[in-house]
Amino acid sequence: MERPRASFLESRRLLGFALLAALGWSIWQVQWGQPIIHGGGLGAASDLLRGLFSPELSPTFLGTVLKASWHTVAYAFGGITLAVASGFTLGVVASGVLARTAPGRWSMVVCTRGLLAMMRAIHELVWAWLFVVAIGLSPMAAILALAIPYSGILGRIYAEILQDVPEEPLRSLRSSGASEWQVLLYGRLPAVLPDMLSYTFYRLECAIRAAAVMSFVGVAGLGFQIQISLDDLRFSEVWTLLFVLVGIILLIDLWSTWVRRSLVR
Amino acid sequence: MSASANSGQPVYVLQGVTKTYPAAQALDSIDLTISPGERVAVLGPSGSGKTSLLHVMGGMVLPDSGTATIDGQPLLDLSAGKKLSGMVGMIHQQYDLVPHLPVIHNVLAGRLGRWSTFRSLLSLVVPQERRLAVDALATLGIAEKMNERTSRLSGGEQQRVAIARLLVQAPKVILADEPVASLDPARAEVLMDLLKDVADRSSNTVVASLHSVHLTRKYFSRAIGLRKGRLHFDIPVDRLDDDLLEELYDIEGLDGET
Repeated sequence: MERPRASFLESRRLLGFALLAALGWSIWQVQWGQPIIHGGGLGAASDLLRGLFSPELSPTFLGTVLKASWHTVAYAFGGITLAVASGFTLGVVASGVLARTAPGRWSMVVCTRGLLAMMRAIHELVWAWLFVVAIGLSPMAAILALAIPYSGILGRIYAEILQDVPEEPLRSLRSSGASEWQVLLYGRLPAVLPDMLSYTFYRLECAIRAAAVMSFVGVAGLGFQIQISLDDLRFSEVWTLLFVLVGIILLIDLWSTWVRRSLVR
Repeated sequence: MSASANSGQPVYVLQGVTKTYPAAQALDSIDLTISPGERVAVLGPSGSGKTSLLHVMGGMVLPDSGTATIDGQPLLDLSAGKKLSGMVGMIHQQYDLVPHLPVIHNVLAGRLGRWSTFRSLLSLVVPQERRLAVDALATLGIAEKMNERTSRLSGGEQQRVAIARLLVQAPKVILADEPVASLDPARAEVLMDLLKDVADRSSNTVVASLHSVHLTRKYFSRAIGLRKGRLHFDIPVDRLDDDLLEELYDIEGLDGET
């Protein structure tokens, strides 16, 4: 009993030294001669801070904000809707719960899991880039760019949630003559629906953030407006846009809580 | 063996049924014939193979060797299909309902063996064969719980839902795996009364595993004793006596040989 314990401690100590050495080396590598904030940066930072307390609220600008929010929310909803549809289909297959035989399950799981991994390995911004190149600056480019990686993410999580259902009620359904499809409908889905929904809502939040950032590839929306205002150093406008973005996320959070509660009741 | 009320072929014929799990031998060449309408109690210490026997009879487990037939048809042919659910219904120790579903769908789940996938899906929106569920729940005295979430029901009410599912499934044989294991004696008798009513209604064959000799004498016509996966006795209940039971539950001999 004593020996493995000692060697475990030794390896921990070794790791500790290695980490300390890495820290020391990186501190040594920093060039302390230069200031952390560049010359004009301090002034810009204080302007930015001042904007926080005087967000731009003129009706014309609010009109622009509303339109930009509409674009961002519309892209996010379009993307997540497609992602739920394809993610659910792929997730059910990838969970392998419909397979009757072990080899069948194995091939289903391996193929769809691979596909899901490929879809989510590429970031939505990269997909957006590819789609803008392929089909131009259309809403479809933004929606597809969101839908593909998000199906990959949702599909994988759905698959895992579906596998993780207590076996007894399912066995009992089977003994009443239920097929695996019917077990899915009557046993698995009712059990996992609240979890699946709240995860989907969380992903909707992420999709809104991602849709806002799509401006990096030139797609309209909140992010695009933030970029324009930042370029002109109109920080009060930037803050208005950021507050709206936070507001949208909070609204979705409230909505998700409400839906989940009504479902669990 | 007790005389069967109905003539004709037996419900179950098991010959040399053997089932071995990596850890232990669950069933060791069981020969058993059960006639229509019989009420059979399966007794035996924990780990003696009671659950395995019921699972083989319910088609949930395939024996390693030996043959098992129900109504003259090999269980092997039926166990993968839906046909078996019209013949055999099971009631489990923890009732094993789907807690998230409204009661009516847990009851109607007894029809899944007869419904297509599409009809089952439709039923979650517009309950199909609703009348059956309503009648079954009324029979068991919990009609007013029909639209409640099953998890909100008490343990006793959930038992009734499980029996209502069985009623709707309308099998010829009811298999019950320790249905009263987690109940106090009074509640156990209530449950057994309900099961007996349901079984009498359509003169079902009942096979149940139990630990209570009192319940066995009160509700069953035939007693089977299992010990280490072997048939220890198979007698009418009136011949069940303390010596036999002591022998059956004797712990001494159990640990030694396995």
